[in-house]
Amino acid sequence: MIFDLITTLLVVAVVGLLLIGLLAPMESLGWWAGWSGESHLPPPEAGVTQPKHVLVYLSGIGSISGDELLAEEALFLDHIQALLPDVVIVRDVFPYSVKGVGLTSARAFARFWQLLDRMRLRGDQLLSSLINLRNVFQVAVAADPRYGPIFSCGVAQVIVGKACAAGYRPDGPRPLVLLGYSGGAQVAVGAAPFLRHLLGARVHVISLGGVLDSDPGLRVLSRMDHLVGEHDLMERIGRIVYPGRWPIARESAWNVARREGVVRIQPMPGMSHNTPGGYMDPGARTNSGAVNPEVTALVIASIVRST
Amino acid sequence: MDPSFGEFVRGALRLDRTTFDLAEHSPFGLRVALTVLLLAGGSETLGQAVVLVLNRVSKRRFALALVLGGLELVFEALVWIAIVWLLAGLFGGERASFLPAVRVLGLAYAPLLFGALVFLPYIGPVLARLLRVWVLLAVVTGTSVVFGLVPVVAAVAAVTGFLARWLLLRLFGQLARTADRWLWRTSTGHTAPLRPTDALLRVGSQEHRE
Repeated sequence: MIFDLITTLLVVAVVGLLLIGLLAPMESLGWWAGWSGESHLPPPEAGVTQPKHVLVYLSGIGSISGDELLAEEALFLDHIQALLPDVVIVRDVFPYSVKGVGLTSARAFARFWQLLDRMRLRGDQLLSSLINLRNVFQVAVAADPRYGPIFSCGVAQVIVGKACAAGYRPDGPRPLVLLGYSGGAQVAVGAAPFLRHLLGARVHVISLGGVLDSDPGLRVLSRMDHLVGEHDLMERIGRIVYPGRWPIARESAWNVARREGVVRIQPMPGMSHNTPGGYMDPGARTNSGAVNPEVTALVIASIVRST
Repeated sequence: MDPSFGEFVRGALRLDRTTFDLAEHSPFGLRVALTVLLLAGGSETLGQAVVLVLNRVSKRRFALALVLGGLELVFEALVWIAIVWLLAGLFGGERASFLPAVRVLGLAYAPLLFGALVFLPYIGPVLARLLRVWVLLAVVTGTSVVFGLVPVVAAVAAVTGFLARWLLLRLFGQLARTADRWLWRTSTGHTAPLRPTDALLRVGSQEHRE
């Protein structure tokens, strides 16, 4: 009896997983094919004369919308902002949608995602983890050589629109800096060739515990700083599941970028991926006594200042 | 009593020798094999639908591409079966007539019914290779059954047949490419397929959306 129940639940879970996986590329393909309406590149905002240093934040897979960051992410970005008052931080890019449309925005299943969001706020982790699952599949879409270019093409257009609206000017002296947390790092690297193409500017990626493939986008980066927590299991998973990250793949984009010094690894002692003990966990402290988000923000601020 | 279509497919997926034996002698074996091939070809084409979407083919052309994908797999399978059929005699197998070989080895393509799963992001291309290995194992089992060969010899015949088919297609590569282009043009209405990386060349220009 119990065995039958477990088997049924497993079958339902596998079928559900396959369905979510099969539907994952549809948004990108639909956007490309024009099934879901037009998407035009927003022109740079007129009237802003002074180019600004812009940092675009691409959140982790727990993100549900560009308008709604998780509390610890918002606090963490506040730390960075305090250290870099002259830098404009773009916080409202939703990196897991080809059009940058959040899950709770104008979508067919917006009410479903809103319900899950409310459940998450009430502390229900099981069902709300569907948000993470959905976004993990979008990371897979971004890393897939078949769908990745389409997905990244759309996301890059969203980033360009937001960065230019924030005052970024491609002809200015600064590179466009993208801060990608977890799966956001994959999205950032995938979008890099399109950003180069659209802006003609240098692109610098800061990967915070990035779970990313050996993406061809690495070849166009001016630099990537890869921050790796000592206890970050998710980052390690990325090193295992993506064959291009294996040391044996000597000519992969990742290993070539490592050899050429484009990718620089920055260890983060004592830190893990998520709370508790994560890069942004305000309740965790390093050996020096500082809270984790302050230490992480300091490292990121010094990297941004050096660009 | 003959097994149903589903039982034939399930047996082939399990590499069950009895199922292949039943398919060889069943009056419906040919129909089952051809149905499996057509559906598997359509499913595999569906799994690779990104190329069709990338090229923005119409719904009618999309459906046509699925049908032609099925027919293409039938042709591909027939070439392989014919080579294995010729080789089996050299390896000392029983000289079965061609049709029973089609019934059995066509059914061996059943794993490709899952070809639509190739659509899955990132793991899709890996699944595509695994499905082809599964088909190869099923063809080895089927070859062993229909020609009465021991599995090792059947494996040599199937793999040699596979390589010979590959070599033939290489030798007649131009012909194959022409046929492929014709199939592409007929099914999609486009002269040459657009690759995912071409998206980069189109970015920022809006004329491709017209």
